[in-house]
Amino acid sequence: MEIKVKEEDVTHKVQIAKDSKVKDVLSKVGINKETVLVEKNGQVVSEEEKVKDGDVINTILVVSMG
Amino acid sequence: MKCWKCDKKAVIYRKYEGKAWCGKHFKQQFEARAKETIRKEELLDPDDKVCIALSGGMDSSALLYFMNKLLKDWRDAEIFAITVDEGIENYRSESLEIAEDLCEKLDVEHHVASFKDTFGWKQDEIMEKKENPCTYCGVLRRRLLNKRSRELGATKLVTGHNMDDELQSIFMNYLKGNMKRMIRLGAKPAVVQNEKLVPRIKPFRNLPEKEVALYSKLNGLKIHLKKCPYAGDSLRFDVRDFLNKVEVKHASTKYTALRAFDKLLPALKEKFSGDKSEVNECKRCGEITSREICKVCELLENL
Repeated sequence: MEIKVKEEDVTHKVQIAKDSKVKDVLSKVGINKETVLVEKNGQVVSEEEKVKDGDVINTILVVSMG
Repeated sequence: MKCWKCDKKAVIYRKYEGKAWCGKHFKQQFEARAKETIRKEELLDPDDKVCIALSGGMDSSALLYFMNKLLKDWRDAEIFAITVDEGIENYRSESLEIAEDLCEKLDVEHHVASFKDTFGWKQDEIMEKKENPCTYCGVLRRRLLNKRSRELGATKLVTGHNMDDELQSIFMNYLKGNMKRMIRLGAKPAVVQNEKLVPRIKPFRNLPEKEVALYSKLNGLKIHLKKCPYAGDSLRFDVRDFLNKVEVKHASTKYTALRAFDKLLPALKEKFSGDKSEVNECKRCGEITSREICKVCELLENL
């Protein structure tokens, strides 16, 4: 299934296995889950949330920017 | 995944406690943990005049929101905020606006203290002359917050340092072999007590950065996320990335590491506190220093 992941100004399209979780999607794109908040289809969710085909994941960077 | 307390969908799974929370219950848990730090570490007195160091970023905005909510029920306590304007073009003006808006919304008195007015230099001007801008910025900012909050009658200066900030400082000091600096860490870091030093406290010190961000987000706080143009690739960023990588592979490492440091801290204080009577007034500016001329005056003289 395909998930869209927004990371700042970039949108990644990720192919991932059925029953995957948000944390699996982040890992596949190379985003450390410690550094972001995640919205799935506009709602804040935990990384343990399951994803389904067509979901849009938005990441919000939370680490200190200096 | 459902909330541990109700049927709502979870917004966070805290691996270190094995529980998931919905927005409402997460906020309650978050506030309870910050209050626990305040109570256990005796950070506040009932009649404190509290100054919030407010940058407009995620941590300090959440801090102001939380502290204002907490102190509303305290009859004799007061609260106000100070934002430091370092003088960084296209960076600070946006966060100043956010800080001002938040204070207005919460009905909290807000003051702006600028490098230029106090020291005669903007950070942008310092950058043109020096290659170690973070040293200048950090030293001047700490001085300005202490001086201005003292002038305004603050009895506590509250900063938004979180668990990640604290751990990064612990590891950085260790990597640099700077054991004496370690004793300045903790939720109530003042080593020297002096009427010219406003005691600093860190109520969010036991809360992960990500949870502070979530608390901000769930409370609808507008936050400034722009990167400081002078931040560069500091050791802090390397340490931060290392700790986040370890945390993903080995959950709860950050939490365990902080607890381990807390057990060490009393011993470090005993060994490295030194002679507390060695507190001088700077011969140039009259501020507190352990030397004859303080670091601020020394740095400004080198410009």
